Amino acid sequence: MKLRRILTVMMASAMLLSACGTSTETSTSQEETTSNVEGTGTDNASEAESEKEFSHIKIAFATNAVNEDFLKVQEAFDNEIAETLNVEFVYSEAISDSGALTTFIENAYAAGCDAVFTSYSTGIDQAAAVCEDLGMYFVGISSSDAEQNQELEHYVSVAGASAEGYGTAYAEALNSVLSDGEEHSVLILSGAACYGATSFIEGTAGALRALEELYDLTYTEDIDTLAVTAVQTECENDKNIKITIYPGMSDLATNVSPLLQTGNYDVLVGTTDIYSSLGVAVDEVENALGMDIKFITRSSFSDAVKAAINSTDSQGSPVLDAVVMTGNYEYLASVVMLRNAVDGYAENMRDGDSCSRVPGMIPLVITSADEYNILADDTLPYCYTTMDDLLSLCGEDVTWSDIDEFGANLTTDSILEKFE
Amino acid sequence: MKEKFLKMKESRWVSRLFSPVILLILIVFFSIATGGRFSNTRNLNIILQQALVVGTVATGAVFIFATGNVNISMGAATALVATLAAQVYMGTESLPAMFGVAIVMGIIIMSLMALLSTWLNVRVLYVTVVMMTLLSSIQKTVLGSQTITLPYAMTSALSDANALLIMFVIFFIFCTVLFHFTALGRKLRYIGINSLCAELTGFKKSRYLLAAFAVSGIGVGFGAVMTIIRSGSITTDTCSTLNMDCMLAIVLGGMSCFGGSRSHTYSAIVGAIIVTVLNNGLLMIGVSSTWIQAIRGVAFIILVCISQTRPKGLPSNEG
Repeated sequence: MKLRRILTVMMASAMLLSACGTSTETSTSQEETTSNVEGTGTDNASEAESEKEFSHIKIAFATNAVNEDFLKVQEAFDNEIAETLNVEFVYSEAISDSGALTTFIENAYAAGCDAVFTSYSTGIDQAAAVCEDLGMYFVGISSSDAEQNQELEHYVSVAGASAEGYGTAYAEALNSVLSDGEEHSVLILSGAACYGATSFIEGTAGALRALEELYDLTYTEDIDTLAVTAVQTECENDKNIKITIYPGMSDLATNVSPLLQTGNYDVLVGTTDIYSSLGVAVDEVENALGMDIKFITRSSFSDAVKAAINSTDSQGSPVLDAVVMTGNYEYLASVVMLRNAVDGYAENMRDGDSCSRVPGMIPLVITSADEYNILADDTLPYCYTTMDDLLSLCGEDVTWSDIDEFGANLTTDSILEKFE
Repeated sequence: MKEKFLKMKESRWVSRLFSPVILLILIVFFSIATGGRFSNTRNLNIILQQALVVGTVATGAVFIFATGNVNISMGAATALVATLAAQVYMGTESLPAMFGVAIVMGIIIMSLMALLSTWLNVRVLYVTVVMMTLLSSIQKTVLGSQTITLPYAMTSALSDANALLIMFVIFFIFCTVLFHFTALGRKLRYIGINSLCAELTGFKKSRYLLAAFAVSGIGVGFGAVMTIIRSGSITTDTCSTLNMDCMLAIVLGGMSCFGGSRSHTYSAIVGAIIVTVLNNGLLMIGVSSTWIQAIRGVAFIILVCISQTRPKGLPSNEG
């Protein structure tokens, strides 16, 4: 019993110390990066900075997941954006339901935040109402439009690549991979489409539409119905092309591997990040059956994806044939719009009497290692936006449509042209 | 010295007052650290509102915990009941219908767990593990691909009318009277102290277990309605952390994990407020979310270590 108590206290102390360590490391790296930013950022934007002096504000970011993507956003915000726009950021833990979002917003208000944005897309209209009651400006990140409360004065905008944008991106990815004139059989993992997640629905529908055009086929069922199917479904069509939809997010390795092992599919399309769960399974099937499976996935920039897209499989083709990259511009757009709103230009950030809709950047489609290596280069500014660009998006003359237009111009080609 | 500490720890008053005193210390600390901003009326009201859903469901769960059993399906049950009640409201636009369905379904679902445990002669914990998965999959099937978004006019009107607080107070008074001033409460605590002795004394354990789950079901029903009002929308993620929050609240509130005589209805709300105060206060003084998680974990371990002791008594199992 005594030993157990000692162990418990030791565990508690270890947790505390590890938290101290993390914080100290973060602070140190923050200081280093800040000094780097001061060195380069001042040169780049000195003129603009002298014209724009921002008052100190606090913006809360309620995130739907604490993953590699979020940590990169957090690093960019704390080390670059915070200083340029004089914003202090407050971050949530991973928000998993609307109640937790409301709780975080209330706590952020208590902590003195002026504005909130969230990547937890469910129930953003209700969150906007909570912010209205507390007098905080709000931006929701979602692939769908606002449905309620658009008239609330503090509901600034809904940012985020539109569901149609995801559809377009998947169509582009499929076209680039399957334009060899041969007939393929396709397995589409529709992820959370069956639970109503619009970006998944549009990703699935976009892939189905691309196949429809590519093979000039007609489905016997409506595409929108097929996209939200809750069970494994064969998409029957007049050209007898084998297209199967497999819904769900959990335990993909266990559930999807048997389907791949049949050898019936040579194209695998994921509307969510399926590489981490199915990369090994696909490799094993390719080895065992001696066939090449084209792999299209949604993902974000990471070491694992970098390694995959730069490697070849046992059949000599790339491990990842195309990646639909979730754009990060929506985070930046949210911060810029909230900065402008707090500075007194909320009307410019809203669309008349309603909150604005800023789809901004369409998800990037990357189809080669060269493209990936340039776009993922650490020396590129966050979201391919220089400090000059950022400052040009702030001020009384800027409207929400300027911010939207800026994001829409951030395509794979335009970024490559700018930074190659 | 050690003996003195252990004697003090065993004291009835220390066990009763430990958590409320900790809560008071936290409030005073955060008030000083934030220059009084923490203890302004608006913030205290926010904290109270945040703690009410967990406090309500956990207050009902005290009846189950008091018998020495653990229920880990409270979150899944509340989510399913909230889904059904929200669908009823969307179909009828009737608040009484929504409320009625929530309470009735809460009682039915929770009672079913007690009955399964008794009929199959399986420990309550195992039944609730299975039920958690089952209820969660039923909720996903019922909800399908949709998100139920309740009309803002309804949810905000009820929030403004302090419906959450009123519901909690009604349920809390009901539970406190039942648990501390009736034979049912005494018998549930006795079962928690030593179920074998209780049965040999003539208590029909299955009957009291059913009563405990039924009361807990009322709490689930209230909690579901409160979730609807507070969240305004129901998804497959609704109440995903509620179960852990309830267990945390009960333990932090000073109630023994082993049930029995150290069971109090106020433990649930005190514990829920402690968690809320920690989250709110730490964010106010500028602590990052990573730190908040670490500090909360450390506080939890220390409080459990100090407050939890298996009650001494006759052996309750064959061994």
